[in-house]
Amino acid sequence: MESRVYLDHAATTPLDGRVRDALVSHLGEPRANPSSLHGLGTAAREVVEEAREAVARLTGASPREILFTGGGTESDALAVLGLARAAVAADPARRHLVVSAVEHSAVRKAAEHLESTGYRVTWLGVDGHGLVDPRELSQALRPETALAAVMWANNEVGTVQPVEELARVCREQEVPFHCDAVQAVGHLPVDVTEVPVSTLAFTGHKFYGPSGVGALYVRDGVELAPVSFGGGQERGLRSGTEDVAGIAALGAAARLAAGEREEWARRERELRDRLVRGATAIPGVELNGHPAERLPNNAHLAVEGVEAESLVLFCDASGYAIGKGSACASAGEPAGGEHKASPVLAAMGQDERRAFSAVRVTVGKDNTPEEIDGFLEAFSGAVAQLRELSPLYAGRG
Amino acid sequence: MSYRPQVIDHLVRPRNVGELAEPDGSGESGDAACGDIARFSVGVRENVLAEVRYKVYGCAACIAAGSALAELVEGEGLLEAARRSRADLEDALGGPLPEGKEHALTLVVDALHKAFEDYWDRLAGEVLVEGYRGADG
Amino acid sequence: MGKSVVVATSGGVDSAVTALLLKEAGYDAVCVTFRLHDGEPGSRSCCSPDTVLFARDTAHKMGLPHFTLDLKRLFDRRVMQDFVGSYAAGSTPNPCVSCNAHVKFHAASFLADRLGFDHVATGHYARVAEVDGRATLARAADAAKDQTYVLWPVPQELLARTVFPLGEYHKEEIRGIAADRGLAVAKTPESQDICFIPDGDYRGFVRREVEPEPGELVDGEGRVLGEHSGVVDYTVGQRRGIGVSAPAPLYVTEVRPQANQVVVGRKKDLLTDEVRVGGLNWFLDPGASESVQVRYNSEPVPCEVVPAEESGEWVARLAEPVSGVAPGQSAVFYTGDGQKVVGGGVVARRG
Repeated sequence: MESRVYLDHAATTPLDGRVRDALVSHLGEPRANPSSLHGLGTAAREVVEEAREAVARLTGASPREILFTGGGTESDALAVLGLARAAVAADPARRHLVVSAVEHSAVRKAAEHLESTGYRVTWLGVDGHGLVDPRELSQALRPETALAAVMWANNEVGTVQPVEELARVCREQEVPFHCDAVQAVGHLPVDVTEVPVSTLAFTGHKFYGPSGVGALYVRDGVELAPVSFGGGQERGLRSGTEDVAGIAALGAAARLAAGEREEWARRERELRDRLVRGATAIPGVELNGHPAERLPNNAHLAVEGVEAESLVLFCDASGYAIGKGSACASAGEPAGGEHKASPVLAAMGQDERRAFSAVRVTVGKDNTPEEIDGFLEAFSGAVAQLRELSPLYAGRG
Repeated sequence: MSYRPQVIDHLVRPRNVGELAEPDGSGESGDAACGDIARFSVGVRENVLAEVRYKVYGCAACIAAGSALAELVEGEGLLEAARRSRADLEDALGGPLPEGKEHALTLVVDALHKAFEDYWDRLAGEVLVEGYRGADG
Repeated sequence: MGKSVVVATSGGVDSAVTALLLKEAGYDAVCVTFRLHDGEPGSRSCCSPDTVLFARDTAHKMGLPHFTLDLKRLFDRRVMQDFVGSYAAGSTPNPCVSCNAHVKFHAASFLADRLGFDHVATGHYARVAEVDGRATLARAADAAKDQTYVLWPVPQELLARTVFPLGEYHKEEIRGIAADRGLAVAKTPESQDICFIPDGDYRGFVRREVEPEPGELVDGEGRVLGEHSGVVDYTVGQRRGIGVSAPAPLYVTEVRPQANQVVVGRKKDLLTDEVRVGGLNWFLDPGASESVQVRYNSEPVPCEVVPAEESGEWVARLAEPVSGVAPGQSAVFYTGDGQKVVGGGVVARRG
């Protein structure tokens, strides 16, 4: 197979050439520990702080409020476990969490872990599009709630939550609000001066930046306890020698995003709409998630009568890289062969059969309309062939 | 997890896809709730598996396994076809499937065998209900 | 005859080793598993162990073809309905006998003929002997496991093409062979258990099919002693569940479904030295009968056999009385050396 067209940006994005240059140039420098007193250390420190400023600017934060981590999952863990720990230290009775049913596993599993240690968790349901109702959030909050968590935009179906309202509800009831913005930063305008989140998690590799480097925004005044210990870097909240080159690359990506995000989003939106139009023209293919409040790059499609893995591999064999629609059913599934449908689609009220028949196609800033058209041709061919194979599709076209 | 080229080949160029209009036996395996379903229909002439067609809803492993099995047994004598094990099918696919995908082999072999079962059932008609009395009755 | 055989396999160790032995003896063997009832594990759900899958896997590992036959309707009609109907009629059923009489050997024969195969085989502990050119049942080498008592109804023409490899072995050897060859086997019910009632609750099973009607508990003279909970709850020889206090223990001596009565008496009332037998399947001349067995795994009693006035029935006159012979149970006649089956039939009602 010659060149592959990449349409799985929600899984990861390609490193932008300019970010790669920044990364490479910093890798070429004499390495030093930013905490060292000598000149080389100070230079490294400056690189880190410059990057911090860029990342802060991108999100409307002040540099002090940005912590560097090893990625989105780590940021989410630090937020959930750190906020919980801090809350219970101040008041032992605060052992209740409110978490949406559609969170990424990094948040969901952290909450489940706390649940296994005795915390009560209220899981917020969603409607058929995957939206959380702020009134439900409000009703779920109690005096003993340590934190609430709802993601900015869903990584599977792409639905964007009413985060401003959700954050306000939490602020009014004085409950810390964590927002996993991993899929949103670099694609949607994310501004913590407009949206009163307590903490916000994101990572470089979802917006053309480096992988293995992420950030956690922690609003001034929010109590967060560390979950790992050591040299005291990042205000003692995330110890460990900083990945200077990676952080510099994240800063470069943030700078690019600050200037170009609108243009990126416009291009992504156009390509996504072109794709959705073409795909849903095929009978029995439907868009999952909210039709309007969705990520500009996300097309999550339910394909009647066809199983996701077979469709993904078929497209792959034709030169198009897309994702399976159900996160739980991909690599990392239990080795018994028994796979479960995604909790996100289940929370949206979809039955297992429909959940197993979903694929996720996510475009990037550098895809072209011709690539989308080529994909649609390959996709419809694959769907037709797999439907011919399928005992579940009664051949309507 | 990665599939062998033979598996991908059976996925994108499956053999014997379809359903016989007037099968001598047809069978289905799998469960509507659990995900994968396979259906086999067979045409039998003088104890030879003259025609085999299959349909599968399921992952790449299931589709490939169905194609490989249909290709393997079509044209074989009934006894030969009934002897085909999951190990034989694995060989036809170029080797073991990725971890967690072995159920695909069970699924399609079971569907084929259910087609055989249906074949005997149709052949016997009421005889197996009344009680077989021997080759003359 | 040539050396081709259809082997009935259940997934259990006996039938698996049967197939193995025949294969090693040079037979062209085909394994077949019968679907008999819905109570089998895995028959309803997709993801639990399934006896058919297991048996198929075992056959394939031995390089043998495998087929499945759906015999549920036949089994229901000939075995399960007979089981329920017997209790309702005041008789004691023996479902394994009914299955051997109508299901297993006939179905295996059907498949053998379709495939052009000569023989059929099962994992029973028994032997086929030849007497004056005719096939007859003979006891297995392992006397404790011998199953001739339930094999008497196999028609002679089917027995003539049957092979019982396990008849030459003891049960422990069979387990050894299976372990030796690495044969994984499923847990299947022991021969005394009823395959379609896995929890052993026969009463419960019957009561689900038949509405029990209480009636009179009477003695041998017809005096009413109390009430019974329904004829289906009682068999001849039964001591428990009578609910009438008496100086000496009471036993069920007769079940009368028409009058809806259960007759009880003393232990001595259970004794009889004469047994009427109907539905006979003779392998040898009836005169060769020198003993009769009226219960599974019990010592045969010396007897002589004469035809009854009613055509078709025979009377066994026993040298010593036996206790609790229940109508519906099997009576199997053996030759003088006790090794060969002369014939067998069903115990008829008294008088």
